[in-house]
Amino acid sequence: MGTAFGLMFVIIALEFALGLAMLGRLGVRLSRPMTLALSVISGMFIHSLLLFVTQLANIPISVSSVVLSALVGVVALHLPPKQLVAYYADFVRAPRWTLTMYDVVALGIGAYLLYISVWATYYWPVTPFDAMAGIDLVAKAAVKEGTLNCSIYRDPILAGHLSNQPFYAPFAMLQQVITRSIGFPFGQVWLAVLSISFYTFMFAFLRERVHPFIADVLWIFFIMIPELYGYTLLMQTDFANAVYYSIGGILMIMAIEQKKTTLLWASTLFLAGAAWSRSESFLLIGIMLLAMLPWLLRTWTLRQVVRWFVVTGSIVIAVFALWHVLWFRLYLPVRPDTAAEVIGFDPVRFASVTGLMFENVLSDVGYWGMTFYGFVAIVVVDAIYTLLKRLRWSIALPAMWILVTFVVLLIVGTIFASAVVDQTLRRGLFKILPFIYMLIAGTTILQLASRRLHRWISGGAQ
Amino acid sequence: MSTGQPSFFSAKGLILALALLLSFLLVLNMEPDHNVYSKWHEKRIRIYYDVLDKYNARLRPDQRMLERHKYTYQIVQWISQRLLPTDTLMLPPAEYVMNFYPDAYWVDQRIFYYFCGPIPTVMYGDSLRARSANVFVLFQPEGGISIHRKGGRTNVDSILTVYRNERSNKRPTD
Repeated sequence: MGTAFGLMFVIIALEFALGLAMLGRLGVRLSRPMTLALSVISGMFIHSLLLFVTQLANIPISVSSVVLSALVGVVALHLPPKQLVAYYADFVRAPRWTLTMYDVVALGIGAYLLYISVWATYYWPVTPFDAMAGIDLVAKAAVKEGTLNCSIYRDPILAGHLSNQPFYAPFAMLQQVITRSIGFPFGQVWLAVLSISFYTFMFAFLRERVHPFIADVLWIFFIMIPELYGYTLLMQTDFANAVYYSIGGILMIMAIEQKKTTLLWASTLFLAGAAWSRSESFLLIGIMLLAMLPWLLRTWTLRQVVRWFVVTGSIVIAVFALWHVLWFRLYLPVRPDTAAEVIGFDPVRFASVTGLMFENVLSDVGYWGMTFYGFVAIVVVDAIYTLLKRLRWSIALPAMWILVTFVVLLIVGTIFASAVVDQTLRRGLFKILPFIYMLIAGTTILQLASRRLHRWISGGAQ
Repeated sequence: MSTGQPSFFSAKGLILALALLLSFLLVLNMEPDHNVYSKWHEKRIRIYYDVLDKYNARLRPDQRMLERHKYTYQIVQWISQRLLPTDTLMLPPAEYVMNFYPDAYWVDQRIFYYFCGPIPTVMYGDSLRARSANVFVLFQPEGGISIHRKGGRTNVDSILTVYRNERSNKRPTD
């Protein structure tokens, strides 16, 4: 097991190097903790893509191919290295200590809560039915046989019984292949790396929106969302997808607010990760990009927006097609019958799905803690408070991501027979949770509290 | 938002740190019967902290499988170890298994394959391949489990009748 941990350390270092180099190439300059977290998260996505490319080239899966695929990527991204040298110099400059005692308390609480999640990803075997019938069923066989085009897809025992799980978007499955290949008997430790990186990102991000003390409180409540926490240790596609999708959205919002094209391109990278981690995401991303057009056009010229739109759309579709078209059609002996899943849009079913979503899912505090009730309460109070004021972008943009994502989820639940409200849509809500906390942090009430806290701490008058 | 930040050690920083810690403890302990955070913490965090030593003493993969999947792991292991290379196992209907155990996810062909590898199986209700099955599973009310081969002492039709009755009792529309 010592070897597995050693190799995991190498893999994380290589993925970090991949992500940092990519962010450097894109010219993304963010705070150090955010850069650190985003480097690991984007590196995991790029590494899984590279590993998939080795499979397209018929290179067998092994420890060597897992490590070398990342290493080759790191080297390739550093050619030529000139642009990255200055970027790295900025990154490694002596850190400025901005943490206070309450931040350390918050980090301590976060560590206390997340330790169990990290331990569980290492200790427990894979548990969710969908993962045992799909993601890990394929990964386990792929590692044993050295190919993703493994016997699962052609064994007569399973013929006609595969359903859609073994055909899920490949990110989680490829991460399982990586961690199983290097010696973890159940894989899964990648999930801990992803969740710790994501919570680190949220910690740093919320501090940029609101006073660090309030950000700490929001961050702890964010970790304590029961359902989201559960999927930091239960392997499914939804948590990883929510991570990439929400970071893509957050970076796009930051790009618009700060008028930074580099952040817009960074959002492209993460949205591509979302399309790589869950099949229907490419549709959701397409609709979300259209919904963001008015704000994009107010920030950049039509030509710039069209260019970004076309490139981003093409990358997202290409990533989707790599697995769902190229791999399915040219490599796999069988394909899922997706068309049979689509039952068309029926207003009655839509109403039923919407009703169930509110009745069985959103209103259940057992899943979400006080997130939704608190969100509604604070937004209502905030709306009354700012009744006559113009809606600020810090509210409007995350609200747009929440609303559009929610409506698209309801439509997905309506038109896909296999999308069950209590399961598929419930986990689909993970995608909007970071935007909810972002919006709460941006409300006038918390911004006012934030300014008062700043004044109180710096000793100024109220 | 680093402007106006206090230094690490400050009286106001200490007040906020204590307020944060006390609030957290309050959220976890206030009205534990009606508090979602308290229930979540008990069931998902504290319960594992209490038994970490016990679990960490059992690190072998098979021990961890048994800890997590419990009787499901025992059942599939028990059955798979008793099958011959020429056997095809009929996986019983979930309705039948759930008379004896709360979960029956192992009767899905993919899950049985996940646990045991490429052992020939047929799901109950697979009309195309049902005839190829030659091994059947029965559970005893007192907790035992047995496998029966076609042509053996137990009449296979009677086992299938038990399966069929259980499914039709629980699924009136089938």
